[in-house]
Amino acid sequence: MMTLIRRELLDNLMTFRFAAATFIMLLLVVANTFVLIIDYERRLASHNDAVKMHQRQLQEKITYSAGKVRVDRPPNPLSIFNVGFDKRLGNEVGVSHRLVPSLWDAGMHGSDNPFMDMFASMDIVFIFEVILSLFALIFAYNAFAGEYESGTLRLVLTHPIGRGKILVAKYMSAMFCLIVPLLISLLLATILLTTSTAISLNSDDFLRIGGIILTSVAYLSVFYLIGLLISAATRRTSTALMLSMFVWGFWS
Amino acid sequence: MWYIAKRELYDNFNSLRFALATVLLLGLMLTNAVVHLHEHPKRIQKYNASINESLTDLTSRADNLYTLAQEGPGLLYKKPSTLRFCADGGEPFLPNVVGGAFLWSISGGLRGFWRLNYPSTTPNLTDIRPNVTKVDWAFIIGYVLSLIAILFTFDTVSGERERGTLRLILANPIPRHTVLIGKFLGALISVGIPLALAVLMNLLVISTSSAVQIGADAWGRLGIIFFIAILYASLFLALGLLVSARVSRSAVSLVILLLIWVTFVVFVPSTLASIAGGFSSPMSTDELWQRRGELYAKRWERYDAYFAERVERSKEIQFKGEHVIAEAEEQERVNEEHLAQQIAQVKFARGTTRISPIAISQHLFESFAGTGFERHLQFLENTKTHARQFRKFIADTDSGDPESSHIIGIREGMSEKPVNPAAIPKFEDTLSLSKDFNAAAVDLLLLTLFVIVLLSGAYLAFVRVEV
Repeated sequence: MMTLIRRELLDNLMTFRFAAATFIMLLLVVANTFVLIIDYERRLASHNDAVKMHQRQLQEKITYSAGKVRVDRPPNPLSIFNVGFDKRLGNEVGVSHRLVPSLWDAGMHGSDNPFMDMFASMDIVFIFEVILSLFALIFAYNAFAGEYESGTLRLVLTHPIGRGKILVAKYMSAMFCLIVPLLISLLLATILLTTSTAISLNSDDFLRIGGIILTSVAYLSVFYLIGLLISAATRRTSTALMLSMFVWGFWS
Repeated sequence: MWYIAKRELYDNFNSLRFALATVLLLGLMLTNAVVHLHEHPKRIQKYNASINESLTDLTSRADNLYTLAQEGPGLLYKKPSTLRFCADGGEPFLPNVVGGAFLWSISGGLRGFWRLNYPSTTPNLTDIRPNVTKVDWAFIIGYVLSLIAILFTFDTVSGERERGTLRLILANPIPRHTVLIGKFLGALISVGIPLALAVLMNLLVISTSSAVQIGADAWGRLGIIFFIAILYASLFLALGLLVSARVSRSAVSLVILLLIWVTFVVFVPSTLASIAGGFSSPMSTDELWQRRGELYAKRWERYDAYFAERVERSKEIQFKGEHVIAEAEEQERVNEEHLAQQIAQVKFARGTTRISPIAISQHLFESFAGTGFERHLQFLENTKTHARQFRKFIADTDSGDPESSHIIGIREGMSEKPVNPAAIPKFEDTLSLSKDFNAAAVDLLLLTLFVIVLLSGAYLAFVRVEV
């Protein structure tokens, strides 16, 4: 079993695709993290301005009944990883004597140029989603079909090893090769985050980042298993690759 | 050459990828048509309703020229494009209305005059549905068709080398460039056929419905859009040929192509846009309000200084009228400056994304579909023209009234007669193909340039292929 895993691992690690995966991941994650950090800092500055302004307004009020307290939602530093609705939904709500605010009473401060919303915004999880799922399929397409074509599958199966074990070995080694770029790029992103003065992450945030990693790994393994299924079901690598790419294009 | 193209065609027609591509494109285009038929009538209805409302408002003001001049032409709406299904163009993020604003009273018994005001939309503020990709033509062609083009060409040269048939072909007395062009044409036709089928089906579904009418002008635009799609597809075909000629194994060729595709198509546009957007910082909303407040205060200081001493009655009216007009003009200028800075930022960001072919194609689709940013600029231009017309109309009508003392800006100085509502200029948003074409010329040239460069690259690479 260990020999199998080691063989698969070396097979995968030595390939061009592994190098390419790592390189592209690092490049994209670092470039995007820079952009996202700057964007976050801008949003934070605008939030701080708004808080100051609202406090000043509050102090100018004379009577309590006329007072309307404006509450601001600070940007979440983890929105760098996954932006969700952090930028899109309102980030300030006025609370007053008679008004119980709902979602529809929220206002927005800090979007100075609404036209810029036309450009799609990217976050780190999106990079994982697109690139790593692609690589999961690229790693998987020739797992069986390739061995079948080169004839080594016959050789492997002559050994007294259960077919299930071969599958598990392939799965584990490929997942390892996919998780390595994921972890390295996340690590780099986190380092970049901690160097920024505006962002301070606490242990809670790190736990959340751990959650992001776990989810990404589960997502990756789904795609890798789809690739394995296709590779085992088709006899030719080119067909397997083609099918995988269409599946990828369709689902992501 | 035709033999080679024909051979490629037969090869492709029998392959799995041809069937998959056709099914995928047909499915997406059908979705697009159905969604458009569902959404477009609602948009038109909403537009008509708001226009009528605006018109009723305008008519209710027409019984007095002063009121009409002071309260202005009301809200000016952007006409939704019939070709919205071709390119969504970030339309939900663009305001669809330009408003006027007027101040009910600016002390001293004066009323502020109407000025153009550009509202900003934060349209998704209450929308808590998840973000979905708009399946428009721009998406289908930009993302899906380019991927299909890559999948059709990644093994044209390297695959034949692996199988050994390349040797056979090159042994024939055909020059290499003919082989390459034959392969290119074959791939282009076999990508073009599924696309044409899908487009035809999409248009068939859309044009059979009575809810959506496509005029002659729109058909012309659709033709241009189809041509751009073919040009865009040939860009990726040329890229595929280039990489496949340089690389010896087709699996490696595909990996490289996919990496290029992912980087340039998925990531470069948005990353570059946000980097480029960071270079300039336009006037913020708070700053705008501050500037406006300062100008307003300054204008009033001048007003108070003028009336510090006694002034004749006629001069007083004259001054007050000028004061009101100048106040509105100043505010409008600040609004325009604010808008111009925002537009400059977006233009710069859009210019930078032109490195990526998908951004170019998106710009082109938007321009010709009459949606998106360039179209929005046209709409803003239209509203400005209308504002000029409206003001001219007021001045003309006023000078036609002998009882008026022709001092625009103040009730005492203007005609107060009712105006014929039919004579008031109506705002109608128009699209002009020539303007769209001008806006798109750079993008069109760039796209062609990309295709030519990649094709010559593919030629050079193919000539050097060692069998």
